[in-house]
Amino acid sequence: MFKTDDVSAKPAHVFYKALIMVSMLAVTLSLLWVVLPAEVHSNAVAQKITQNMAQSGVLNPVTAVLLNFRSYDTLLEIVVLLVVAIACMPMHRGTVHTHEPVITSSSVHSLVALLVPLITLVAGYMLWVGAFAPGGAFQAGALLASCGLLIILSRKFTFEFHTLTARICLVMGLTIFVGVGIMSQQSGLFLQYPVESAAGLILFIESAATLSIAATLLVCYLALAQANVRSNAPSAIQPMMQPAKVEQEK
Amino acid sequence: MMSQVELYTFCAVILLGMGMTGLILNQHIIRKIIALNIMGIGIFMLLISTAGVHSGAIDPVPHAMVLTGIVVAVAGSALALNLAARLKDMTEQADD
Repeated sequence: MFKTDDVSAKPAHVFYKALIMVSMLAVTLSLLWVVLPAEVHSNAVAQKITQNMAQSGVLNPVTAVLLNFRSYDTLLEIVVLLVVAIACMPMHRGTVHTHEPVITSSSVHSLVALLVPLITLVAGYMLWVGAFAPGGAFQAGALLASCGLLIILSRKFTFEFHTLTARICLVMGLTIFVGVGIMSQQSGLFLQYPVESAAGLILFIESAATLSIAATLLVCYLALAQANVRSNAPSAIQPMMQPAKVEQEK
Repeated sequence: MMSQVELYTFCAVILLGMGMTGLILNQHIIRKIIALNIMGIGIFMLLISTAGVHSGAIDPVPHAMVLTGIVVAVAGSALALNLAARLKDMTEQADD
């Protein structure tokens, strides 16, 4: 399963590889032939969105589509994230310890101390600016997760997967999204926010989603780190990049 | 000369082809996951390039779909990496 590319491959393998490359080239060229003459498609949906922007509560059309006009997509996307987080979490009561930080340079430490508040600030700005310009919950969540990674890589730390705080952080986005969808429904339609309070509700959902997205990304990373701690590897990611030792010995 | 949209479409299809070839030719599982990601990025670029067909007007729906898609792709690769780590764990135990 973890084989590396065999340099001294047999001629038959070379033939198959060449065959695969030629057929992939053919597939790519035919795709280009189909896709490249880009036809002007009717912008009926885009026009509808432009007409109804006043009802959405935000000024950025992408955010309006994500969290108002097609909010089902975003809701299900958050469900996907939660499912992935649950799938990645260790079965047994998992704890990740590092006795020594992965990054030990002191200049990096002072840089982290400077960067962490700055990134948190930028994440908050990203969340807020999503209503007017490109930005929003996902960008802010990714920034927060990177902030958490910086802290994890440069400090001694202990993380328990099954504490109440971790679980609340993971499910908060989905709970609040569904809760707002049910509470604010108009004329019996799920996720149909009232026009006057749409802006506040969208910001509320996005704030909760930001935390959940950051928590999910962190849990996925930490589960990987835990998998490597289990196999007694010194570094968090490095061993996975190398082929399995069993294969090398042959 | 190529227009901007054509250039984007061209690069997207090239990325898609590169990812597809890498997915089939590489045997290492991490390389396969990376190839799958490159393929996905090609598809996202293709979708984005369809958003700006009319000069001036930009269709926000493909943008929103790609934004959703990126997050799902990240989650999918995280799951794949975790499964790969798990697989490595189990095969090593079986070999011991």
